Amino acid sequence: VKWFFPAWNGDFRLVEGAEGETQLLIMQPTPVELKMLDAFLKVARKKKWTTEKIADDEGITTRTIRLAASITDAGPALVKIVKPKDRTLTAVAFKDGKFEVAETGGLETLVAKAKKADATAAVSVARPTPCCPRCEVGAIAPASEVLQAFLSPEEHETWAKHRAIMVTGGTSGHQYLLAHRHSRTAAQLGKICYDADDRFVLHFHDSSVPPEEEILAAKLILEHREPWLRNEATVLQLDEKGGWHDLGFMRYKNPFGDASDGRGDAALTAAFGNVAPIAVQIYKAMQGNA
Amino acid sequence: MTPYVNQLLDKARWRRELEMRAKKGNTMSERLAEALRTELREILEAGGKSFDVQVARHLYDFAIAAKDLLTVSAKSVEATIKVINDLNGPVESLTQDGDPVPFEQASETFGTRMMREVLAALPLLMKKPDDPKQLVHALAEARATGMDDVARELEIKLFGHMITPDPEDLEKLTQKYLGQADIEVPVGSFAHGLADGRAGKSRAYETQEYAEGYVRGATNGVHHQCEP
Repeated sequence: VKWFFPAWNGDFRLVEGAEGETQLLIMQPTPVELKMLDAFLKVARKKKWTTEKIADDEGITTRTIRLAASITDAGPALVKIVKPKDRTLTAVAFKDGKFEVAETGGLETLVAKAKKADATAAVSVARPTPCCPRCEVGAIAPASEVLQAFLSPEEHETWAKHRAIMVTGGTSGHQYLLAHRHSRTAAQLGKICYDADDRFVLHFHDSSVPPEEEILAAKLILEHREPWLRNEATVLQLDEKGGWHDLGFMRYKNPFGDASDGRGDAALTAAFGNVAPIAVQIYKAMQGNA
Repeated sequence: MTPYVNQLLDKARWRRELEMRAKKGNTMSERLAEALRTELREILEAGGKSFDVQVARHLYDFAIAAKDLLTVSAKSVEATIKVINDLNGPVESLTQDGDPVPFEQASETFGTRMMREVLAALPLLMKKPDDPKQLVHALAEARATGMDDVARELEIKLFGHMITPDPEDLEKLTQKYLGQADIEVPVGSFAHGLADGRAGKSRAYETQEYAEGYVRGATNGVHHQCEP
């Protein structure tokens, strides 16, 4: 059994080993992720699962850490540290092709069930952020292991062919098209999610994980927690002057705030986008002078 | 919704409908159109009766049924992608194909891309730089102990390029560019002495011709008598 935790450069994963051992695989962590992993290793050392540490200036890229704990013990501990508590959904896939989900609060019950039944894979995804960078055409990598573990054979086929899948909203029954953020379809839409029934775009994204993990998170959440992604913050349309308008499409109450949810992140990213070119120019000028 | 939004929406829908019809050739079939026209005429004629609430109700029900009949909802990935491709975007949208991207969104898009690129380059930037003092000490030590190869590596690290050439490389270069060169110069000229010397031949200045040529070249042909 593998338990995936989508991260900036791939997935951290817990892999069940022999005799109750678990391996934690780290994929090119960012400085923030290194801090979170360090916090997890502190917990692990306290519980005597490992003696390993992560140094402040460690330049590790990919590494495996052995944990003297079962995946069902290590998994919940890692979720609580690397994913936000109130907006994370964990899904477990079973051998019969079905899967079950739980929020972090109800994780223990799901894990207990997975222990008894034949679980094949698990993933913990965070809710994407409402708002608004545009999708652009870019390189598309082969389907990731984690996405494959949670797609049906039909979805697999359409993903391979179009880099897009159709999912059904768990509450509304609406059909949504989810397209890879670097696909032509997403670039035309501007976003990854399109309501095929009402024929409009839902505004959300998660650039903090790779494109396929973003699709997986959107799929699981639309199917099992639709209001997280269909609410007053995401069912808004942008006009050419940059104004946001509610066109009256059916939506649910945003459980994480109001229509302004995600605007803070958007403003921060936009500010970075404004400052970055100036910083680059200054750097180039300094290099030139040197 | 404000009149401004309604206006935008109307305009966008009208253009979308036209585009959709033009690109997909997806107009209603003539047979269906004729059937609907006939039905509508019959409702309005109402068997010669005047237009009353009953007729209005009938007309309203017909309009709803006709809308349901004509609305096509894409349910497959292929069909949905085709609609998006035909319109180069979503159907319900306040913007048109070719509209400029609002400034805030452009900044956010650029910021997102930059963040990914900066973080991708971060491992290289985070690599601790070597202390120049330590490098200078190491270079001195390498030179002192005759570790020329190490010294050259350290020079590249410190200055970005090699300062002391590798003796073997120097010899090879000399052989390559000068040793095999066919240099024709007047015997006894200033250039003759230089060419002979560089070509690894006997030191030309030891000959009388070279000495004279050198003096001619170096003094612009004027002989100076050295004071004893």
